[in-house]
Amino acid sequence: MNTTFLELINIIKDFPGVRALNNVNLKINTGEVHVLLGENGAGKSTLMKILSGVYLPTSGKILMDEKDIKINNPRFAREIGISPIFQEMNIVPYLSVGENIFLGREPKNRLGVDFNEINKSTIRVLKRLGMGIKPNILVKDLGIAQKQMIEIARAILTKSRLVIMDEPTSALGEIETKKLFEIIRSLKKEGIAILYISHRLEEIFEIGDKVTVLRDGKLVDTVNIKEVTKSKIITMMVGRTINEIFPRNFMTSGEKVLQLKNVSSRNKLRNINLKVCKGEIVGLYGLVGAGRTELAQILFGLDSFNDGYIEIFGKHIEKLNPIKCIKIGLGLLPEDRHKNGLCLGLSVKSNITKSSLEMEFPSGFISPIKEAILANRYIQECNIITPSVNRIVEYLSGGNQQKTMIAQWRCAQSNLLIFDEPTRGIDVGAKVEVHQFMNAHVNKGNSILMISSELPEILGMSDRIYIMYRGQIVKEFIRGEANQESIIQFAIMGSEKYE
Amino acid sequence: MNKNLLNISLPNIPEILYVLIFLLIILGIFIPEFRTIGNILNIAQQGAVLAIIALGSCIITIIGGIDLSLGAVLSLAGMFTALLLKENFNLIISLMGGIGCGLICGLITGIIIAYGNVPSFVATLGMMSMARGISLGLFDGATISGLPKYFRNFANGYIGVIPIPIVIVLICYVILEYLMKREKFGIYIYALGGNQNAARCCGINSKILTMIVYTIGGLLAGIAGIIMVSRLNCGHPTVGIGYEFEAIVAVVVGGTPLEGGWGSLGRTLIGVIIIGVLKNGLMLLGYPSYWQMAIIGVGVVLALIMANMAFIKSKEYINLQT
Repeated sequence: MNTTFLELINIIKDFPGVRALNNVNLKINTGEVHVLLGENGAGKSTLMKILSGVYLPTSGKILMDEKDIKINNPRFAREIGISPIFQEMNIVPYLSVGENIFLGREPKNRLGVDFNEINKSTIRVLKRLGMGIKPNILVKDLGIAQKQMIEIARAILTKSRLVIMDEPTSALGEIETKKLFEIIRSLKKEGIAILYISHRLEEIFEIGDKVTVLRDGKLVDTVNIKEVTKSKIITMMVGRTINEIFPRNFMTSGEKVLQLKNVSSRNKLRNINLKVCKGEIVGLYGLVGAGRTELAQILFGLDSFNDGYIEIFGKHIEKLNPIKCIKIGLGLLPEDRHKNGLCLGLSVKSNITKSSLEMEFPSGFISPIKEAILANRYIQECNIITPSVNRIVEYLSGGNQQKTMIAQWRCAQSNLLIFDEPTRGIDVGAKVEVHQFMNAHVNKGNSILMISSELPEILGMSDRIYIMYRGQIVKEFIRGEANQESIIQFAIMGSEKYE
Repeated sequence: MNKNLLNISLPNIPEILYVLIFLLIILGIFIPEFRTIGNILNIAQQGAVLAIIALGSCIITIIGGIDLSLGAVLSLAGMFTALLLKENFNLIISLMGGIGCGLICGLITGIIIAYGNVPSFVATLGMMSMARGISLGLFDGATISGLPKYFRNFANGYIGVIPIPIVIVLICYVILEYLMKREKFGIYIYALGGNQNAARCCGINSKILTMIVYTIGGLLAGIAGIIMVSRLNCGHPTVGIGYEFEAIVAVVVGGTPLEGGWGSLGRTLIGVIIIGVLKNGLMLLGYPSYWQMAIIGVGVVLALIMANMAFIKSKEYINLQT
């Protein structure tokens, strides 16, 4: 009864400098819940975007009903029955529920759009989904769970064959999750396949039929859920040896430079307790959406927190803002360097000195010579490879861009650096250099809070490791206590519970 | 708390209406001349041109665009109509000429924005300059006067007791409101402004839609231009300057956010009336028109700050809920 209707064969997707997917094969049967698993950056979302027509694969074939197809735009994907439900949802806030569900396929009558028909069909399909919302409510007033239902309703009405769900439960409570699972089960009965992307292992065992694990863009294996255990899946996901060299000299750590007590923010973080000491690298691990970046933003004053106590360099600080943070010696190296860290159109020189101009030139007039000398000093210190100080940063390689960010904070004499994904998007050689810099930085008696999704990096670089799960810190490991499996366990399940 | 109570007891009345009513009461009490029927008709007649432009500006704003060329296109369409009349073309052809002129300007702007991927601000700035240049060039920068008498009656006449320009505004409003509320067109416009990605994924041709919206804007500017010429009884090449901004002000006062996604024609019209009433009141109080501009500017900025704060509050409220 379950036949394969969609098949991906040897899919390769290259992005400049990275191979996001490497020879991935995937078969999807009618009426099955196919779980897609993998660490951050394993290639899940790339695969999903290929299926939904956002990206074209570099090479490889997609067969639907044994016919070769090319999904070259999102509209075509929908026409052939693939409905993706992204976390960034495809809904229009100021249209009603019904209008959203029927967007692009409005029924007509003599007077224009047949709103009666829309309302009736909407009520019918929502009833089937067990939802009692009125069809004429504006979508902006709905909760996330209900917005999801709109997309599911749309998928049902367009007679979809494959519904792709990207972390559908990440914003849902327990009851809503249960409801969603019921709906998934009823979709299954109608022969609709579901490609389900999630990190929550309990869920996967509850709802999944098959699981495909991706790692570093490659297919690890596809197995039946019934035939595996949680620990097996975790090994499949991790299964990587630490082959990079982490040049870490460990020092005894000194007094606390950063301390958080019960810090909560309105929508993301709950009761964060954390400390960073002098001479320490503290690792922060968690899955996407666990709240790591939000925490970094709060520490750098980019976002406000509404509860809790923060102490930086021994001083209690009630309200943070970036200017104050830089002054007291904090530096943030954001995950998205291009958007939030560098001024891409400016020179290396200006980027290095941009957060220390006030300190170096208190009169307000910038001496170009002094600025160039200053920049040059840090270019050498951080080993930035650039033809001149006036090179525009955009034209440097990823590694040199990150080194420019480091130079910026060296120049501003920041003692506590927050690295958000320090080595994302840079090549292996530069990775080692960045790690060496981190090492040198703490050896001078400074400290680093490092957010990373790469387990080897977390394990190799950190003195202590905090694991975040759904906006909370669920575990603290001292160096040596942790291994890849135990970290993944806490990050995925939030506790040690294990079969 | 108080506001919630108000919302429950008077559900579908937009807040902006309270502002208008408040203004009317205040002005009505303190300025006796304000209360006369003649004055009210005067306000309506003067507001008609702005109202028509603002309707166009409103739908352009809903899709997330902005049109700075409407005032210049209005002048150009007016000049063109005047020129045709002066050359003794018949009335219908002259009117069609004026409307067509606006429509073509809008169409060109729309094509540039939709297919040339030019930001609407830049594209319409270019169109503004072009239209203004042509309308000055058409008659060497001079006004075209000596138009036939029957044409003057067009904008100064009445149907029953209602001035003809008001009738035209109402017709435009009803047609557009029908399109926005009962036709696919309206749904697609909100979709395009609210989430372009979703619109595209649902099979909406965003390029054609964008083009149509700007064309409608141009067409309305053409109609407004004709009314203007008829009212003044001459074609004046720079008479429309500033109308595009007043239209945007009316749209924004009516609650439409400049980033698009939401907006209402009815509220925009209320915005137009508020501007008209304010101007009229200030004039009756004896402020010269320069000071009127300054005062209205301050008022609009204050209103926007207040609206913005309310918007942030509602956003936080949503965050709390989810």
